[in-house]
Amino acid sequence: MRKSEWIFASASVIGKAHITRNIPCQDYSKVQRFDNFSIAVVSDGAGSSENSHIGSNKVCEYSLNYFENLVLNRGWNEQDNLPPKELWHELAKQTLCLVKDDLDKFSMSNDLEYKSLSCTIILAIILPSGLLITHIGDGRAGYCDSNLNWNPLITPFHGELANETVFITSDIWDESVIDEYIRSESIETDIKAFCLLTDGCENASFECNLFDQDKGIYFDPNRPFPLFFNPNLKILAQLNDQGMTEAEINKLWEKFLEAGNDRLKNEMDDKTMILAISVS
Amino acid sequence: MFEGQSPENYEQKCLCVLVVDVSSSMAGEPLDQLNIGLQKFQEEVAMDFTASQRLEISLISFGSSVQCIQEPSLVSNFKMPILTANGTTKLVEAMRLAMDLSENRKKWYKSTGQKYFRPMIVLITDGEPDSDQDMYGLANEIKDFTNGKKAIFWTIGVKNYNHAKLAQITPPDAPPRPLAGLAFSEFFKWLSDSMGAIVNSKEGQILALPPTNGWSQIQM
Repeated sequence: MRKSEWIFASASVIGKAHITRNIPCQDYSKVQRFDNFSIAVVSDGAGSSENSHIGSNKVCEYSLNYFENLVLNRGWNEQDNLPPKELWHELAKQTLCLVKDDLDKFSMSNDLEYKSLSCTIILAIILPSGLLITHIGDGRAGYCDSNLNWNPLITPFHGELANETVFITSDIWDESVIDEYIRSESIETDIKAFCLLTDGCENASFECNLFDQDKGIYFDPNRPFPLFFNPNLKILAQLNDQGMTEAEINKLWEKFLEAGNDRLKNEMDDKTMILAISVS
Repeated sequence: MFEGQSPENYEQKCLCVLVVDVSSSMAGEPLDQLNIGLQKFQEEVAMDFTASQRLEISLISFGSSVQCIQEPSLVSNFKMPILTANGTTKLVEAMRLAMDLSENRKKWYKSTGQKYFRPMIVLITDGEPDSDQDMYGLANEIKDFTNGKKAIFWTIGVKNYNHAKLAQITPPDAPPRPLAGLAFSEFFKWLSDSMGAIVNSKEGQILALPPTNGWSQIQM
């Protein structure tokens, strides 16, 4: 079993459009370390739902709890191999269903409309043997292998329109369609780093709408942009070496997501990103 | 402290078709103000970083004839035409052309792999359509269009427009909005601000668009 330590930078920043319209940041993210494993989760509250900032917070809270129990009950944190991909996907669906049920109960006990809590979720479990990921809706996630090649971890769900996706509260839970909307992946190779982000960060950090001159078409390579991530990985490791606390790192990360380059500065949507690097 | 470059991603597209009445009743001050408003609209959109790269504007004029005088284009890629008055009010043909244009542009977006927002069709008129116009047929077509979520319609009535007649074709949840006086500049400033919000929105989102009291009045 490989032993490694992970350093995280995690922040959510309110979008310019939300400030203008006087609505709260609807994104939420959370990272938690457990015994021999960690869980990172990001959630993007639906702009159409008035309590989605609460929904994204609750979904992160509930999912951390349920997925922690899943790992411990299955003993994945003590195993040399990841669970089979099919098993992980089945258990991810069941666990997300528990999160959804708790969200429903929360809405009833607080007299809130269930759909008003709509949000997406991307969740990663960092195990000694690799990385497990599952998600509902849009956003992006990627990882960097030991050869410093960046690859996508998920394919965001988009409808016909550019700004259309599904949420944990959507009608996606029927067995006949659920696999279209909940997707899971496992990566067993050595992972140097990974990122999870809401769609407010995607244009700044992923190649997601390029033009193919030869074919005359636009396409989404869904590719983490090395010139965005690699300098930040280096800085993250340096900050850790300098003895900076996670809270201090997160503060600097927040500042970077706010206006670290023109693309981030001009983004109107809420921005959330977790960046993690292994320092084994 | 943290630093990183961003990739050169192209923007998703949002089409806005302006369908403007240039019939002879618009001659003079109304058309002058409309032309000034259109220029300002283009300038305002150009100043919005995201909207300027996402919003494609098309302009259809209608009088005795119907013309697409500006094919869909980003604001930086065309000069806003100056409208001149011309005869009667072929509103129905103009709206049909706008719907066709919208559908064709969506097909083009799809065929070229471009992501897009739901198009918007904005009708601006001061009169009632010519008597031979098939308003009933148009009303059904617009109803099908909106039920199919193919586009969003906004209708702006200028001065002595026939509210009841226009209300026949507009979706029930988007009745005609009367323009206060000739406040085109204020309307287009509002439209530009609204476009800024729309091109940053999620599908299904209930948007709190800027207040309309700068250009609209209440129709009793």
